[in-house]
Parts: sequence; C-alpha cells; structure tokens
Amino acid sequence: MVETNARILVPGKDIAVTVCYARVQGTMNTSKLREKVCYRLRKEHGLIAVPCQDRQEQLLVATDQPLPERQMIVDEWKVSVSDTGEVARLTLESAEGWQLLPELIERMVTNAIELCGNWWTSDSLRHWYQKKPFVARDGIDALRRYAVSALPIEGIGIAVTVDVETAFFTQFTVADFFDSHVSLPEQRERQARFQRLTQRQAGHRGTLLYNNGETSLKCYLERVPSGKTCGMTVPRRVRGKSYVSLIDYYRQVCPELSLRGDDPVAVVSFPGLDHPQPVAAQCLKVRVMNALLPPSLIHADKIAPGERRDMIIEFWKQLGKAAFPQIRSVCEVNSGEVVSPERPSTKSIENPLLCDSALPPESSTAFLPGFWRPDATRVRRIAFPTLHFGNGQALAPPPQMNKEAYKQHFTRRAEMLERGMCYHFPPLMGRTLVCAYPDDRGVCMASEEMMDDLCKRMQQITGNPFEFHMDSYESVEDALVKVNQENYAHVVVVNLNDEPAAYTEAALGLPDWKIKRVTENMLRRQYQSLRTNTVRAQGRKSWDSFLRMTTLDLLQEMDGVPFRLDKAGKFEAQLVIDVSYDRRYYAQSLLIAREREKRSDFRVLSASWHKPDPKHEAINGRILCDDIVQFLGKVIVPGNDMPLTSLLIAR
Amino acid sequence: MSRREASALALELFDTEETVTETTKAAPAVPALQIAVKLKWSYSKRSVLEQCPRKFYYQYYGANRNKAKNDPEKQRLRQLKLTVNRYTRTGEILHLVIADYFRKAQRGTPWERQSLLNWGQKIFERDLARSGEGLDVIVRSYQQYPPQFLVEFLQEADARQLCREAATDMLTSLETFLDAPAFATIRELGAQEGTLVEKHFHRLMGFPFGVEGQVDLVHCSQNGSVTLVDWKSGDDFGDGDDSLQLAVYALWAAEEFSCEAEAITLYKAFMGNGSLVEFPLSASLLKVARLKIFQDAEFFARMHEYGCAGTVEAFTPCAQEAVCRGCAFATVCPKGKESLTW
Repeated sequence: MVETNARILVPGKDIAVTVCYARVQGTMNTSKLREKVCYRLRKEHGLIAVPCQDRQEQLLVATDQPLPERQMIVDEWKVSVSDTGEVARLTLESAEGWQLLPELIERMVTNAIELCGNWWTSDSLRHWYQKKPFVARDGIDALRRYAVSALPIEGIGIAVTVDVETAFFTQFTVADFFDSHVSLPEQRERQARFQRLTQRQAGHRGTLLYNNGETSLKCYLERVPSGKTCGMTVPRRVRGKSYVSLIDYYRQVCPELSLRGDDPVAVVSFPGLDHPQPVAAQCLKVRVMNALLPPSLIHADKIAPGERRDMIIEFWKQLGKAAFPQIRSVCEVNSGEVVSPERPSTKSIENPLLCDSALPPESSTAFLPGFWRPDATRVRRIAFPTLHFGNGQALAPPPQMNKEAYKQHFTRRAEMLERGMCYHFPPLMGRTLVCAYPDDRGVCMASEEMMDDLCKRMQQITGNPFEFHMDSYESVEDALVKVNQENYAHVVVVNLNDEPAAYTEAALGLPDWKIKRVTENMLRRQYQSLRTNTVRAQGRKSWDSFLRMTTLDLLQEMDGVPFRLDKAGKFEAQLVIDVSYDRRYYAQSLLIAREREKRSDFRVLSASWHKPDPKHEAINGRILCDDIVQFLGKVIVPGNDMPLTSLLIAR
Repeated sequence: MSRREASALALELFDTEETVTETTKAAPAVPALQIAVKLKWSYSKRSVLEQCPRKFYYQYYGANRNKAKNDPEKQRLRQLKLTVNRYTRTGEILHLVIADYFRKAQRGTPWERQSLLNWGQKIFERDLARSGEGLDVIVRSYQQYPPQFLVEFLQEADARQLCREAATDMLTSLETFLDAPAFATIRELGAQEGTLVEKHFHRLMGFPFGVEGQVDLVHCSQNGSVTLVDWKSGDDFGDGDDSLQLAVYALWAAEEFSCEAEAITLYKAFMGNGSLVEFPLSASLLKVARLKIFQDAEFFARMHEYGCAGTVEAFTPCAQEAVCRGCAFATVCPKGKESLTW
C-alpha cells in the first residue's frame, strides 16, 4: 500500500465551486496586472480569484454573491473590477474547471495558511517557512520550508500536497558583513566569508532575503556602495508615494525597524523590477546554497520518510481547522441548497484504509480523513532492469522490493564495476590524464591524492592502466597554455580556482580536450573532511563517494559505458530536456537502449545550448524543435545507424 | 564549440552593412565562412537581445532591407525603426549637447549656459512637432540633427504630456552637468585640447569580428594615465549592469594607449544626482569581458540564421509591459499589442 503526502478535499470527485466572472478595466490591463488584482481582492476583501484562461480581461471569483464594483490603484494604474453578471459552477467535469479549480483551491489553502500566521513566505505563496530555525551552526540558520500545491486527480477529486524542504540563511545581515566599525582583519574576514557564501568571485550575484518587517522578498545583490547610507540617498517613489530619502521611507512604512540615517545601503535587484533598488543592508540576509554549507550542516536537509511524514502531520495540526465555505458538492449546487458539503461514506472514496488517527480531527471537515492512498490499479512500480556489464556479465534486479534488497543491488553494482566489468571503453581512448591545479600546497596534495585514486579506479573499471601528469597554474589562462602543450594526452581534470570566468575560459581554451571540472572549493572541502573529520570513517566515506562520482563522470566524458540495460520501457530512446537555474542555458540528454542488432543499440549523450530568452522558463518552441532534430541527427547518422522507431521526450 | 568555430560563426553574425546572402531555411547548417560579411559587436545590440529577442529581430532583421526579405511587415518595421522612445531620445540629446559643449570649448568658443539649454530644448521641441504630424509622413532624413518621431505618439493618449515631463528631466540633467561640483574636473578635462569627445571605435585586437563602441570622453595625461567618462542620465542607484559596456571601453583604451588596466580610470557621471563614481577596473574584469564577447558570438550566430530567414517565431517576445511600452515595435508585436491601450 502506497501512502502519498496528499489530502483530498471534501467532497471528493464531486467538488464544485460557484464562481462569478468579473471584468477588469483600466488604462493598463495585462496578465501580470490581473494577477495583482487577484492578490488585492484576496488581501483586502477575502475573495479568492484567478485570471480566466480564455477570456481576456476577466477574472473568476469564488463567490455566489454579486460582486460590487471596486476601484483600485495597481502599480500606479487605475483599475476597476465589476461583476459581469455571469455565474457558473466550476467542476472537474469541464476543461475550464479541471484547469482552474485546482488553482482556486490552492489559493484558498494558501490563504488559510497565511491567515493562520504560523509561517512566513518570501517570493511564492507555495512556499512557507517556519519562523524559527530548527538548527543553527557556524553562523547559519536552517529553516524548514513547506511546499504546498493542489492538483486534480481523475475520479478522486482535488488533492492538496505538502512537502518538507530545508532552506539556509546567514545569521549575519549584509550590514554585518560590511560593518566598517570592526577591526580591519575582522572586516576582511567577514567580507571574504560573504564572497564565499554568495559565490560572487565566481560570477554569481548572491541570493538574498530582504525582510522589512512586513514582508520578505527574494532579491539579488548588485553591490554595496561604500559610504552610502539610508539618509544620503536621493528621493524615492514607492507604490505611488514619494519619499525624500530611503530613511524617510523606512520611518514612514516600517518604523518598527528603528533604522537610522547612517545605516548602510545595499543595491539589490528584485525579480520583476527592471532597475536595481537601494535598500537598508540591515534588512538583507544571505540565502546559502546547499553546495556551500559547512560540514556541520551538510546533512541538515536529509529527512527520513517517517520523519517527513511526522513533519507534514505537524504542519496540518498547526494549520488547525481550515474551512472553505466556497466549496460545495455538485449535487448541492444543482439542488440550489446552500449547505456544507457532506463527507462521502468511506466506501465512495478510493481506499477506505485510512490513517487519520495521526491527523488533526479539526481539519477533517474540509478534507477526507487521512492521506490519500491510491488503490492498486493506480500504482505502478518501475522495475529495476537487468544490467549488462563487460565480459557478458549481468546483474539481475533485486529479488525483493525492500530497502535491504535495493541496497545490496547497488553495492553489487559498484563491486562489479570495480572488478573491471565495464561494459565498454573505447580502445583508442588515451590513458594519460592531465591535472591542472591552482599553485597552492594544500590543493597540490589534495589534487595528487585525487588523481592517484582516480587512476586506480579507472584501471579497476576498465581493466586498463592509467597514469596522470600534474600541471600547476597561477591563472586559468596559464593553465590553458600548459595543458595545450601536453601533446600526448587529451583528457584533462581541471581544478578550477575562483576566477569568475574559469568555467567558460576552460571550455573556450581547450576546444579539443575532454574536460572534467572539479572546483577548488569542493576539492578542499572533501580533502579537509578526509583529513580532519573527528569520525575518520565519515570523512573517508565522503571522500570515496566524491571520487566514485568523479570517476563515473570521467568515464562518461571519455565515452565509456559502465553498464547498459536492454531497454528503458517501451521506447527505443528517451530524451530529457532541462533548463538551467538562470534560464540562460538548457540541455538535452539522450539515452538509446534498444535491440542489439540495431545500430546504435546503446548510447548516452548530453549537450547544452544557449537559451535566447532568459526571461522565460519555457524554451522557444521553434528553436527547441530544430535543436532536437539537429542533436538526434548527430547521434543517428543516416546510412550508418538504424532510425529510431520511437522516442519519449520529457521536459 | 571551439574558439575557432565561434570566431568563424561570428563572421556571419552581428548586423552588417548591406550585402548578405540570405538563407532560405530556418536552421540550415551553412558553414559560417561561406557568408562573407563585415562584423560588428556592440553593447547596445547585446542589450536589445537580452531585453527582448523579438525586438532584436525587428530591429536588426525585420527592419533591415537586406535581411528577412520575406517578412510581410517589412515596410512597417522599417518605418517603426525610425522612431524612438522619450527616454532614449532625451538621453541622445543630452549626449549630443554635452559633446558639442566640449568641442566648442576646445575650439575656444564656449557655449553660453542658457543658449546650450535652449538648444537642447529646441531639438526636442522639433521632435514633438514632427511626432504630431503622424508616422506616415516620416522619411529617413540626412540632415545633421534630424527631428525624430517619438514612439509615445503611437502608444499613449497623453504622449505630449509624458514627453514634456521627459524634456524637463533632460534640462534638469543638463543643468546638473553644468553646475555639479563633482563634474568640475571633468568639465575642465573635456575643455582641454586633445581630449577625445564621443570617440567611436570599430575594432579591437584579438577579436576576429568588429567590436563597436563610443566613449563619451577620453583624456590621456602626459604621465600616460587615461581617464574615461561615461555619462549616465539616471542616478547612481538606477543603472543596470553596465560592467561589460565599461570594460569594453577599457579594452579599447588599453589597446589605443598601449597601457595596462591599472593606468585607466573609468568614471560614471550620473546626471540624475550629480555624482561621479569610479568604476573599478582590473585585468580579470577585462578578461571576463573578452570571454563574454566570445560567448555572445556563439549566441548571436545561433540566432543569425533564423533572423536572415525571417523566422520570427524563433525570437520570443519578452512580454514585459515596462519594455513593451517603450518599444518602437510594440504595435507590430503580438505581445506588445497586449500592453498598449488604443
């Protein structure tokens, strides 16, 4: 029996919400503005609304009462919202309901979460943070975050899911990091730490959390102008109101912050605003990315399934009694009676085996009892495939579907690889690796140990001897010159220093080389953990894991295939597309796994492209289409390879 | 893609003078070197693409006589390309007037304060008058300071009022230029003979394609130190990420005066609040700038063939109202139209 983290809203599949259509009129009327109108209706009038998909300039408002005309100023534009007189019953039976009901419900739920006041949010109403950190180490607070969403499930109703995530923030504000009143060595130390945590040296801007006491917002640091204070800045205009200086704004809008005119200023960019804005540096904290966490917090985001379940139950308990009077059942709406929806009998919903004992009874008037457990007809297990190694060896799937059997399977897989059973390694591939590393004694030792171990592992996997050659460098430019002089090798492991463009420079400067990049920061951290961890076994385990993954990556860079599977489902090939975090690049990864008599029968390939429209998450359809065709054209060569008969594309 | 390939592809990117062999398919694998063109990279072109790919298409392909020849909106786009929004136009006038201020000062016939202000205002008044006549009468002009059509007259009911407000801001900025104590040294440097004003450059060493830019003020002292000034019409909190633009100026100066980055001082002069801010330069910053330009080469090459073929759908509209409202092509762009009121 599978248990999900979803709760189904009463009355299940017959859920219905009466809505009225409202018209938005104004000089400016864009989808962004209509979204803001929905926000204002919820905040100021308690009305839950979503923009209509097919009717421009209209909103769907979850109410069965007539909507009085309202005037509001949104982004300095006058807007009027009026009732069109049209009322509808939104159910999961219609296409519009299937699309918009979950959105409406999600807004109702997040509204209830906001009203409850136990959590705070920054850039999305889907993510709610605990007020206090559950752990704080090395100047970093770790906070639990709850991700909330609603989705329709055919034949069941609307599910509301809650998942637990973890976020990390510095305890220092940006003002603390740039405090000029502390000693010079302390100033240097703080600023170095700031650079490290924001990765500004490496070209990142640094993600910050801006909290003015009223709201929290995500933003990115542009700069901290030396000597600029809140009292010195030029007149500002915020939400249609003018202020003579930044401190004037804070005194009028957020007096509880008790900011002073001589408090320092930082310039930040907010998503959706064209120009950077000055804010009080004291209101900014650094969002620390997981890769930059100190060893003491590395495992803080790992949550065991049982613990995760308990946390979700605790979340629902804290939310207490959530009531959604707008929700009805189809029958009630049809009969015209206004009564609360009845809970269906347990027989009418899928799976009567409920687990409601742990969930708060208060919330069960709005939700069916317990978490949703889909019945057997809805549950699919993706079976482990048989893995084929070199020398005709194979690893069968785990005999049982349990944790122990899975663990044994993965251990066995690693053992088989280490016994030289790599499925394929190109016979003509060079066996000399060049390692370029920043000229530093500590990095030198770590690099040598890493390369020594990598060569041993590569030899174990492929059965061929590998050797390495070390090149120290002062700058990445210097490294490229040295590496290009190595005539006998064409595989390089570059330990990248913190030069901002090191990654790109290596790519442009070593066009004919196969490059495996390892950042100096990561290498130092792993090596330090190996050498200084009080529990030596933990440090060794972490170092081994780092090297194992690096070896597999290197093997793939060198066109090696550690093992293969016969087929990956019904399709001959799978193509997976993903967009980078900053939306400036995207990648395609292709897996071909088909009958051995078909050439090419097994391949794994990845490629990345510059994405021309970084303001959008979506990839331009025309460009994506052409890139897929071009990418596949390079892999499946007409006349040489058999065409693919089926392809699954996932985005 | 290797550096060589990037350079080769770059040979066919960046908009060119006139003659281009037009491709007939959207994404053909035509070797880059087969298309012989003159090359140009500029920060402004990069900015347009960054701001809105669709605007980039309209400006550099759709409205170009020799590219995207089958674009059904060709005539309209060519007409719209001659329009400009009030912010861009007042910025242009500011630069024009300040440049003339320095040139006259260097010739020993300095401008009278009020005459200079009047001249700036007069140029904009002519723009307003021209804009009031309607877009259909606009033709390409070859006068020294031809009046421009202000795009607000196509988009806003209160265009004249909005433009007059912009003109007031422009005159305030001009007064700041003339009066701000922080600019005193710059005004003196600019008046000295030999100081370069609006120095345009087309090429930089190490790039197989042209790199174009224009530095507002360049002064080289006898001890070899070089001072560059870039005028900014806003204040020092409202500027965007212009580090690449300024780094390219420094690359040019390092080559032109055979000096290291350390010998170059680059100032941003903010006419919004009269502050002069030194832009920190370093060798690593210049290296990053070089790499970014090469990366742009890859990027632009990717879009170039779509542009030449008139494959407009490959250029996603940014759909950001703040951008659309100042865009000359908003009346043609499907997303731009949504942002406008008629």
